[in-house]
Amino acid sequence: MKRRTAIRNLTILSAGTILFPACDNETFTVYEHLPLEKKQFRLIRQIQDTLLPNKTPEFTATESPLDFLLTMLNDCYKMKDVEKYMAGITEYQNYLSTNLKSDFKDLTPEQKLSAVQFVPVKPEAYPSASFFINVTKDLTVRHFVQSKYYQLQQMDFEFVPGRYLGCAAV
Amino acid sequence: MKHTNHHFDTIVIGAGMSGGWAAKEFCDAGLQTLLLERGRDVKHIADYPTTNMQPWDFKYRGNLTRQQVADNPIAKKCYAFREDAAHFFASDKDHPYIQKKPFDWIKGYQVGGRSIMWARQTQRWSDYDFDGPARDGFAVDWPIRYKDLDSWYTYVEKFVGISGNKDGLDTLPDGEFLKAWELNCVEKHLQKELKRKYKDRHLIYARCAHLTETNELFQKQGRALCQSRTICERGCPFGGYFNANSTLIPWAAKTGNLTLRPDAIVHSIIFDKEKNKATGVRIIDANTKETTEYFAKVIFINAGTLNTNHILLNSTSERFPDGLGNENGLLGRYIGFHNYRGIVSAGIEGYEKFMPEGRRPTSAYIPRFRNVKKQETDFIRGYAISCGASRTKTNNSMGIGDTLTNNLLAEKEIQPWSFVSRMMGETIPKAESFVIPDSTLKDKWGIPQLNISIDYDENDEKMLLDFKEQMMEMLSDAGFKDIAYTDTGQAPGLDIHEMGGVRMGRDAKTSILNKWNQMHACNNVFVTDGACMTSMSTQNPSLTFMALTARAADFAIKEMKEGRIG
Repeated sequence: MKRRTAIRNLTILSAGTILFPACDNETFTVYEHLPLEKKQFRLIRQIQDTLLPNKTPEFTATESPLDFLLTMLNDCYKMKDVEKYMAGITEYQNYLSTNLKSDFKDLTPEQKLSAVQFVPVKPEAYPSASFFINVTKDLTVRHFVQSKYYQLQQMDFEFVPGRYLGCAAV
Repeated sequence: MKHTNHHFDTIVIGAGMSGGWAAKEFCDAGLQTLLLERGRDVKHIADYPTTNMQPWDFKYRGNLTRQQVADNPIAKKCYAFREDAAHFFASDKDHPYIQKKPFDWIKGYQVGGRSIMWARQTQRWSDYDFDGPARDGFAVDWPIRYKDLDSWYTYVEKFVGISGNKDGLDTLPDGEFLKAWELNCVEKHLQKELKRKYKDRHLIYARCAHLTETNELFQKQGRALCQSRTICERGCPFGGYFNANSTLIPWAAKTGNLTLRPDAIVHSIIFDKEKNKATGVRIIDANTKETTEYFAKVIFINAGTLNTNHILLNSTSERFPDGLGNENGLLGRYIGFHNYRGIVSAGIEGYEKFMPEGRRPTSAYIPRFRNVKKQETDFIRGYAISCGASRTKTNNSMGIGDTLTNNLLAEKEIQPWSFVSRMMGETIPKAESFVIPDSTLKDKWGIPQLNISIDYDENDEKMLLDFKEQMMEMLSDAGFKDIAYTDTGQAPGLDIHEMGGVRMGRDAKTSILNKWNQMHACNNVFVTDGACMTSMSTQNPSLTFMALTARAADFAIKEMKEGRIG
């Protein structure tokens, strides 16, 4: 009985983080302004993986690209943009079902690339979906380039440079 | 003597840059000193929560949340109000004021005040600045000249630690300097070109309050060398730049003579008509809203320019119905600021083989060259220019899929040199630039909100145009390209150099303070923060506030010893 009650209740892991229990054991953080279905969480994640396949083993970050994207949207973006993003997911899902007759996850890698490429070049036809893809790309790239690995290894970031040379050779 | 209950030798209102100096001087002199601060306590290092956080450690990677933006429509305009330092800015939502005219009031309510997030620029004034009002016929004559402040500048600079070069300019007197960082090759190029074409235009290294060398005094303060992190607004664990928290307040506390009282919002100064002097201060606890009174022989008001005006205007009595010391109706008037609206940017070719390495917490600086020795334009006074060149590496985020990944991981592109210059214009303090407690709206502590009426004038507009023309011409002559001008259109206040309202002067009829920053009408009250300024000049003013404070504190200590005040 106690176990069933526990499963029925949402699990609160830490401050503000609520996880959905799921048959497949996959859980997603709840974001107040982003009432996403599980398949939509997965769709965004798959699109992120398609836009920026991360094959760099050293890459680590405090949070996943998905959680960073949704945290930024939920907490920092203007509400009208949050609403447009939500509308964009739906519009994009409609685009997929109408044009590709398939779930995104079932597409081949080439088809996935085409599917994320097509909408942004037709902003007049898919205004919200274009916004959705563009924001997803922007925040996915930001998560990647602002990571420890990228800053240290790629941008030569120094937290404590201890010097300033005005005219160093390139 | 030891203080008893709520009685002290001195009370200092405001634990920021100038208040910290007053407290230090009094404590060093053996005076029991109460330092009141309206905000929370911020202890050096312990209360710098973000100081050692890497960029990737921030939840929002430096961005503000939607709620922070909504709650801070003014503070959000400040360059330092970001995820890493937003906690050092007083919330606009919690500290409302009235803008009769647009005014961006950037506030830092905590021990250390805005000295935690200041830009650390420390240029001396010269007699061309102190002579200004008398020569050009505005405000009133300063009651002091450079010779009165020279040794106090030195005194402050030795304690604070100022990085700079001895440039030998009469417009910007040299001081006690620690070694400077380098100018970069593009800045040196413009420096050389200006020297070639003009006799009176000099590009120099902007002097700043950073430790580039150490000595026994700085070690005694517990401060180490600046590490060029350039995240000063978070507070520095090295004490590499000067703020009140790392230097003044711990120093004062070590004497055993300091009582620090945070969360103490000063309602008013208590004036005793019979004794004809101020006897104390009435405060409201920021958290409990309980009212308390503290008493002292001498009171220094260093609450920050506008709050100092506010406290004095709110200190009404039978003798002073319009605010303490306000016998002439001038209190709260003749407030000025710095005109930062003009920006000129440019590019340059010829230095592609070089770029800066590391970071530098300062910039280059062109001291005022307009109307210095004689009037030569259709506007009075002039402007200094803060400027600098930089070059950055950028990544390529074009494409999607493996193309995007490969682009991001490819060799980084080094962008061309970029040069940016910003005008720092002197504004003219006028009677119609004023603040006044509002007659109806109050804050959550029941204190009337401050109503601010400060604006640009025709002189500012003409000066802005001249900056545009002169800066573009200087850059063009020096071979820069893609020269572009921007008028930010920003409201007064965002310069965070508001000054005046309790001005110094020679005559009680035309000023509030005398040459010692002492009230003409109430001789045991002193004002030594930005409120005391008679005119604004062009230099970043904090160094002058500190020098004036140390000088006034020295005077007050001697007067107390002689029994003339207190």
